[in-house]
Amino acid sequence: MYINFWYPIATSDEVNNKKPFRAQVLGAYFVAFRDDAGGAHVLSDVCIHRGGALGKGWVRDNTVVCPYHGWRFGGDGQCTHIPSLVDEQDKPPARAKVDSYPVQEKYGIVFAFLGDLPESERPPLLEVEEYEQDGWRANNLTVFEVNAFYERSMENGLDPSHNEFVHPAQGGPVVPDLRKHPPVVEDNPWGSRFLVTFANPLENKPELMTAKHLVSDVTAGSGHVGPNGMITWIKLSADSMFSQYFFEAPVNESLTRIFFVSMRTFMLEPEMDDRLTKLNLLIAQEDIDILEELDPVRTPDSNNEEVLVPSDGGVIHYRKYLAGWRARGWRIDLKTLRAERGDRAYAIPSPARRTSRNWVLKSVPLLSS
Amino acid sequence: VRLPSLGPDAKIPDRTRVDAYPVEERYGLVHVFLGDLSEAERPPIFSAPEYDDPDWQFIALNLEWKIDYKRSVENTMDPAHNEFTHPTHGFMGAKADYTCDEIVLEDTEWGTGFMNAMKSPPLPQREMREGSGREGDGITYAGSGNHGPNVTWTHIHISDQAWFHGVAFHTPVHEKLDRMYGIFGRNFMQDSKYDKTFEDRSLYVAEQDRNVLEPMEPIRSPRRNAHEFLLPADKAIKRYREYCQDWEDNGWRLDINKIRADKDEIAYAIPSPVRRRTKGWVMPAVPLLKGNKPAVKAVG
Repeated sequence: MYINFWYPIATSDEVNNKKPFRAQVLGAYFVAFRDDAGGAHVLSDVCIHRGGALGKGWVRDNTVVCPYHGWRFGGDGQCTHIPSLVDEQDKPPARAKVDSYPVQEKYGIVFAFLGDLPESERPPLLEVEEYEQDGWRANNLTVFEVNAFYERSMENGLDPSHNEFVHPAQGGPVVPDLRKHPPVVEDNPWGSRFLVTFANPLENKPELMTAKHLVSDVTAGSGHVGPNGMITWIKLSADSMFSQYFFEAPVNESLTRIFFVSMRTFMLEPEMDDRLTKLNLLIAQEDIDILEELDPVRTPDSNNEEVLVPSDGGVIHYRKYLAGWRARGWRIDLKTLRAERGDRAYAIPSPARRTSRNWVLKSVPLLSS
Repeated sequence: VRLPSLGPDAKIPDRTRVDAYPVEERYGLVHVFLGDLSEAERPPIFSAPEYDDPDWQFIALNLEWKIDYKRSVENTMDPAHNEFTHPTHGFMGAKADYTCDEIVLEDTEWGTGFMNAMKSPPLPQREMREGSGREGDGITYAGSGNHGPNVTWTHIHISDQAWFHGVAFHTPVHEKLDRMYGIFGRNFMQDSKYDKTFEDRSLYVAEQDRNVLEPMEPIRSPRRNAHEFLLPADKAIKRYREYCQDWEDNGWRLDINKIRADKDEIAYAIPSPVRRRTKGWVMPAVPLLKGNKPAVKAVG
């Protein structure tokens, strides 16, 4: 798990100005709430007084109120009110603050930048290019949880050779084509992508297709932006395409919450939304059944502990990017975190830590660069 | 006394024994002394003379929460949480003049405690309002304290004549589970027909605490106060932590990290007083953090 990327925290519907929303991401807890102007805020959830969960409290006057002793925190993370201070004139001290994270709200999702990079250095959020574009329809946002480590889920999406076996109802014989034409992976500053061609997986699902969409070869591919943003493209013909975006939140070492945005250029009738969601979830369940049993839970640190072949090109590139981010000192030290679990609460460092000192919670331990 | 596989007449080896601990029954509970101190050195069981007073009526309540027991002890000794965690007791910060009075601690050999005044809303049940003689808002004199690491007392005086006194005996089942044996007494509405009323109210209030305590991070209180933000209202908690530090300095604190590392490999026993006098025990004594005081000389 890596700091300094954008992570989905909640759906827009889950965040309001009455009841805060509590989420675990990267093993740490966060609280999301709205101010009265509608702006969303994401803060570290641990009250720095005595460890209360802000996300179990309530929202009042643009602040989140701790349910334990009523301390209030503004969207910037600064404590604005400590009820038990004896003198009414007493201002909460400067050290009474929690981390507050940059927020972007898009596609019905509240994203937070979980890291301390200044704005100019931050990686971009994976962009849904087709969103609100002519000819494209967005299906309803779908959120689901998988009892697996998010990198296993990401690698599954970057792996064209599993389809034939894990998704027999969808996949034609793909592997022979892949042997001839292994994926050619294109590298970008924050991720990589590839396209492959194989037999139409929907050929035996005529009820989903009109005749003009049926072609025997389809182009498909996938890519990632950052460690946790994934896209898959399926081009069944020039005018029938899916672009599917997976914004993955590593809840902890063994649980992943996936925010799924699916775009399409055909079957545009609104009543197709639910049918396609159902189909997508059925396909996802086939992946989940495999992913939840993988051993070890987390991808091995060295590729020598697996046997990788040319069709794993997408996975190999993804791991190279992860190694690059680790070299920058962004990878969370899970072993230290695990050893101290229950004894110490850590915070993911926010950008304000670069400019001010004196934070109550220690910054999460990172593997040295 | 009998080891079937050796046959009926075999001599049973000396080493064949398990630890046995001093036991005392009080307040309807079986208390066990888990440790190896000689009788003269042992902390006493918390004294609650009201329990045997005919003017007092007690109920017993047992609860199990998924928390570290110290979080619950500190919660009891925290006067500032009532206003927010318990809408039954406080005003959720709605009154602009809310503050927490200065705490004046009174120490005993085995703990600390305090009493102070709190503004409280009217009691919810009509019969409690009548029984206590307090109709509307009022000042409640309340306080709490600890006795040893795992026992707390709470006194709530809702009027001059209507008092609640409660004692909670915490058993840390393990690092993340606390079993609390509580006895809660009152010197008004003593008729046992009111027991259910008091039980319902106590359970209702306890549930408010559980909702705040179970999600706390980290599960165990930080080892250093600098990792939290303590205020004057947290004075009793600070003092409680000093007592705990003192017991740790005695070499009495379990080495949780070592126990965790050896889990599934070694079964440890809490040493019983007999270990001071005899050797040759099968199970090793539980690992303890090294104290920094000269060892207390074994007596006898």
